[in-house]
Amino acid sequence: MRAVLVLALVAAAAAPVHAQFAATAYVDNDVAGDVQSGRLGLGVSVAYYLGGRIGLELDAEFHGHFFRDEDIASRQPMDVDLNTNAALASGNLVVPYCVRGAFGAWCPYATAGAGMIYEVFQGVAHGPAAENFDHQKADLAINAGIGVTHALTRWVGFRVDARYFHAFVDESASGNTYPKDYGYWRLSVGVTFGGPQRDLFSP
Amino acid sequence: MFIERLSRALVVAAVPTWLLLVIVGVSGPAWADPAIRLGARGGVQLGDATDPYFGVDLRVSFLLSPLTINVTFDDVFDKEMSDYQVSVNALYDVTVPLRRVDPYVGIGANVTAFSFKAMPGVVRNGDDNGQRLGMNLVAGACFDLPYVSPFVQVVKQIGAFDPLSFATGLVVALDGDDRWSGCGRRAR
Repeated sequence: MRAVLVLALVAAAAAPVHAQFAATAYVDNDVAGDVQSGRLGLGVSVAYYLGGRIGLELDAEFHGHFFRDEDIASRQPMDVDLNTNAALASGNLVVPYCVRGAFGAWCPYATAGAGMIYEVFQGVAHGPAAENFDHQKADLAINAGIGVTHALTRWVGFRVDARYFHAFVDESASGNTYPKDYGYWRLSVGVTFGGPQRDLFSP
Repeated sequence: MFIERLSRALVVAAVPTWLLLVIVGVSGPAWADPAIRLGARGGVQLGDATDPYFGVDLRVSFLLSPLTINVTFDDVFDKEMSDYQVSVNALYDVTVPLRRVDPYVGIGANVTAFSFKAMPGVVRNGDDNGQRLGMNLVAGACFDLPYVSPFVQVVKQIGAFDPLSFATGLVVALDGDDRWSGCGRRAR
């Protein structure tokens, strides 16, 4: 994760003055929906803005304790403690609209895209009759949301982002995993480098 | 025990500290712009019990933004668990006609890392250690005095842990830049 962030920083710093790369490192919380809330997620996104009007973004996130225990406990064997994690990767379109005034420089935006959610289900046996298991599954997911970036300096700002994810689960292959389509809201806060707000400070 | 607590505290503090160093370091030509205030604070958290806490408080203000980024780290002295909290808040100075008083409001996020202490005869449902994310609502006032600037503030946390916190502390300016007040507000 740290290596990806450093690479993104180097790419943003090395870009020509009017190239509009943006890299964001963020923490997130799945605040509402069919997954566990209150657990920490870490992510990074890299975007390139075409003329400051529309951006192409690649987003990757890792989230621990992804599903709620009570939603999947009934599908597990006895005496098994289940841990669930998820890795998300998506490609998104971002449409920003930047304004600057006495209140500083702000770029609210809307975003939508698609990607995959890679889910890991690790069962740890706690009884003599139980066995450890490790299942992985990848589900197609779409997302849409809104957010805003705010410039603290010409290069550095912060981002607040809210996105709704909907995952399409292959129910025939669910096994010990989550059995049906699910959706949730992800709220994230991060530090962003570069981005369309830089245009507001161009000579 | 101490080493374990210290290592957990360092892990919790590592991410925001690293991000803040990047913010200041990548500021580039605007290196001299941020106003940096560092201090200590203490207070009490009112939740299921009343727990004292102590920590550090870092405030970074920017010429291009009316917001101050506030990063805090607190060690909460809870009888039942070790409890470390890191918060990142965006503070906004509220203009009032009082000289040397800088009230502010803010909003932010927190990470609480906890580990329940083993207690004989006590069986817990759920995790006995982990991290939880939450949101902060902040209101306070900083007093722009020479050399050090005391502050008082109240924070309401929203999330799995939702105490109401009262704190007081001191911050000092790490720069000699007279464009900023002792509290990190743009000089009027």
